[in-house]
Amino acid sequence: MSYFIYPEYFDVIVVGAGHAGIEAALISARMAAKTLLITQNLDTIGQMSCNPSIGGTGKGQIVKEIDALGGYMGINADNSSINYHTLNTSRGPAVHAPRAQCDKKLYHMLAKQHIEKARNLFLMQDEVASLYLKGSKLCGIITRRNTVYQSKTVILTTGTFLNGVVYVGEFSSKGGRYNDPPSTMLSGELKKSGFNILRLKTGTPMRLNKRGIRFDLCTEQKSDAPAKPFSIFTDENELNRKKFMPCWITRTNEKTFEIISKNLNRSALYSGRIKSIGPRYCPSIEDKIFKFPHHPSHHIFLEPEGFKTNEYYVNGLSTSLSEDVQREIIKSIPALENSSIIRPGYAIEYDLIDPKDLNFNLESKIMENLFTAGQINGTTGYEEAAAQGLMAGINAVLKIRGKEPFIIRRDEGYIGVMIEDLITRGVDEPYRMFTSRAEYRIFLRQDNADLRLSDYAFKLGIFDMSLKERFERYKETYNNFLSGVNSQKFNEDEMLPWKVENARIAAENQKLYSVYIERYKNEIEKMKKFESIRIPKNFDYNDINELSIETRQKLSKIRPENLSEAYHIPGITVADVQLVWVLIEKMRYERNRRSN
Amino acid sequence: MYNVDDTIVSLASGPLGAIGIIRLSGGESFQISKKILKPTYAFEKPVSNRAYLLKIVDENGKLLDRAMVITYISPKSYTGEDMVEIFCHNSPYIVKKALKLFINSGARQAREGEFSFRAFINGKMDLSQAEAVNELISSETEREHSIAINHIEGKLSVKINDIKQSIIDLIAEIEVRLDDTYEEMDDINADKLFLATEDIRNRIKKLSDSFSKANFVKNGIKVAIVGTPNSGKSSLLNSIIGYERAITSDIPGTTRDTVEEKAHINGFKTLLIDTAGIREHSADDIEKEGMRRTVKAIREADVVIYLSDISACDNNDEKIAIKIIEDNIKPDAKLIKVFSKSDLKRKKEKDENYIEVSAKTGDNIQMLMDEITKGYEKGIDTAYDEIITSERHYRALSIALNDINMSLQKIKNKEYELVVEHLRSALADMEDILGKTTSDDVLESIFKNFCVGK
Repeated sequence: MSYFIYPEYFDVIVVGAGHAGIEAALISARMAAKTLLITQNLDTIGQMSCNPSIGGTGKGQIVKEIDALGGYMGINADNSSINYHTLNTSRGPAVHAPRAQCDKKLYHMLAKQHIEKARNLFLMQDEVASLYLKGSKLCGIITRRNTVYQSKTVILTTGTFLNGVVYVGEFSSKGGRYNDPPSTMLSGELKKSGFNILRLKTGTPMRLNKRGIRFDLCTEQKSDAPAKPFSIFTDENELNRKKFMPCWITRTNEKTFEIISKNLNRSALYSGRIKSIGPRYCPSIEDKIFKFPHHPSHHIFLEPEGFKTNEYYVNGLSTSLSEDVQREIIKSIPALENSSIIRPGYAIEYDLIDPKDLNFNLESKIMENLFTAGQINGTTGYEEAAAQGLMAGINAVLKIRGKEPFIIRRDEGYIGVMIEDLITRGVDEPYRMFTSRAEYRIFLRQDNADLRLSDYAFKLGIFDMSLKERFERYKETYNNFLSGVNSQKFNEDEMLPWKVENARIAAENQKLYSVYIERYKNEIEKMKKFESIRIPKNFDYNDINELSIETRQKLSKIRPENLSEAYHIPGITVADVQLVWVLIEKMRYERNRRSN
Repeated sequence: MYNVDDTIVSLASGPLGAIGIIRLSGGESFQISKKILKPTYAFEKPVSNRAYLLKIVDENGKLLDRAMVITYISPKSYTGEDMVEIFCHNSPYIVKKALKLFINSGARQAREGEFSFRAFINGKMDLSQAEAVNELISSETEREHSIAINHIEGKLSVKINDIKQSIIDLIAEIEVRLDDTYEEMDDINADKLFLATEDIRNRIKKLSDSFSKANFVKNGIKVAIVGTPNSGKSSLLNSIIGYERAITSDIPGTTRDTVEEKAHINGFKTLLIDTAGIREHSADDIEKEGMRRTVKAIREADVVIYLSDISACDNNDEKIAIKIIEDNIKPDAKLIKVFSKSDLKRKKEKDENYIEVSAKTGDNIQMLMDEITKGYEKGIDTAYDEIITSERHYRALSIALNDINMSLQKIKNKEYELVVEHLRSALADMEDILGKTTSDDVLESIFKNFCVGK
């Protein structure tokens, strides 16, 4: 077999151009690393494989954080938005969560063009077959067409494509999404290299042709007015000149219930053909009916897939039931009975790696210079994927440059919560962000994402230093609002894209919650202290008889770098941490004594 | 913190009884035992939970005692480590000598609670159980023992766990709505939430209240003996505790200060307080100070014994004494009226509200002692399974209670994200007691109880 050794050498190769891959490639290129983005199909870059929306509870906060760090998702969501709906506005500002419906095709087209235009970023359509190793050293990737691309680091963002299998009732076929072919070689190669390969399941509902939908029988859900954009770089006035499209709400009924319960055995999920676990939060309709038989009716949201298509996403009817049953379900709902399915819902099973085998910079513990992000790490959701892509991209570049990794703490952002959860707890179902996962929810708000994180974007060289002075003015304005100094020193033109109004809201909310944020401080101090105590790399837990065997195994497997990481592993008690602490101190004491 | 690397030894039994139990725990338990317990085959290839009859021999090979010895192999032992228990004759000489032999052979005298600590570290018990064991070791009376035993069996853990689960369910009830991306859930029912939170508050309050209830078990029932000078307070105290402690004389006002004495009455720990006599005109400053302390003792007492000399005529001092008692006694304290010196000639009329005792002859002293502990038996029997005796638990529960009260207030304002903040704090306090951390408990409850998601 002859290989084409590609003559250029890359800093970073990103495999997969979904939501994780896009962020990873863009940020790496923006940090001036020579980056190659390889995808099986250029026409599915930034594909929204499931619902046509970005944001939601927990997720909306993540999009804001991505934006604050110079990521792309917020900008692209704004540019392709169909309507906006901020959730939880009747509740306190800590749980306000922005969400937008997006035009899927537009989202893809804009992402593709943005990538094509990006400096330092190269694009290639091909399937990655294996990693290019010299001995055990990662030196790039080899594609299905036997091209070798050499690089210092590789970021895998394979989504649901690794050995993907699509299920529709009794039918199944290999696939990464609808009719897209899966990636069949890479997973086996990873296994050979010593990776633990896990398998999870997710699903999507059917799509309808708008023709025949009785919108008069549905409840209309209009866009917020005025719409609030995700990105600080989006012009709010221009955004609100756009004509938005509404979503529609209808419900399942007893007849639907009957059809589904009668046909449960024809669901890939319930016939036992799918053995992997799916996200509990995102259950299929058969799951809902099986697990909650006392609910007579469930919500259905009809969400437009784009301005230039009749296709509607039927949110709430995710299913792996057979096609004829799917049709019967639609027929049982008065608002939908005259519409037709144009794509059936399906379930998909796919391979992933165990996120417990990752370091906090998303680099593999099993193979140096290999990073992973998105569904391959066990998450679900565009936003979760994008955030990891961004972090993996940043950290791959930092790795090449011999710099300290960039890690967001739990008290700094949802991104930190997610990555720590993944690494210390692993996954037994696809991981979705919830605000309830954040201990410091009252502080981790969507209104202060930039105040929490944008300083890092400057430090990392992501934001242009020409913006630095403006950001400083924004922060000063915020601090003035916070301390009640009313005189406004700067006008908005001096701080754009940051806005006076945002500084005012962020300060108001901070004051509203100040008592609670104060309460966090002790806990955060404790964590910082734990964080500063590093656990030696060769620390042997198996010798510590005082720890339970289970605890020893957990710590040996996860190998926390410091006491804070150890503390966040479930089942690990403060007493365990203190014991490890004492032993570290003892080791140091003995070492010092010997050397004296 | 304790050192956990070495092998520890300690006497595990008390000074009374026929059998002394010596306990050895740690990696060297068998090696050390080999040097003292013969023949050594029991420790060559030790078997778990096996009993042997062995000789305890001293450094010269001289027989000290024959003892029943049980070997335990890690992790199947109380501490989770290799352990040896020796049941020997409980003579102070044998026990002391045996301990010394073990220590000379490489074991270290265990510090208080160290066996429990190791059991905790090795995951053999949770923190609340570990503390209970400490209390068991230091328990002096049967009553205390019984409470400690209940703790060990994890009754407290069960209670706290139940409360913890209720809080988790409550948090889930709110979180599922805060995290509801499609706004499908019906809104929070504030009234229902309030009631459920109130229920949790009551359960925590009951537990934390039991601390003061249980205080008398730990610290003793406080009994103040009050009366006019020379009414026989010190003699009564001595008669109850059985030896001369307070200075007694026939000169009125001998006890100018309060004298405290611990005693066990009917199995209850009690603190008897002999007070300075009350009289209309206090002679000097010292006596005034004594009076002040008497009042303080009355205020703090669980039981006040008013002592009146049956051989003395009614007088003004007695009236004043009764008034001072009535003005200062705690509302829930018990007042027992007693005529003293019943062996002397009666100058007071019979009164069925008074018990007539004689410290000299011991007449009716037992009746008085029964009267002191009456009611406590009942109170404690019903409260057995939910008594908090640890200061640390009490503190955690008090903080939790405060947070629950705050969350009730926030429910009224419908500030649900803040309700959760307080409930989370309360949850953390529950975990402080149990020494366990939660992971995805709230999500677990959400997915179990609610149908949500797209």
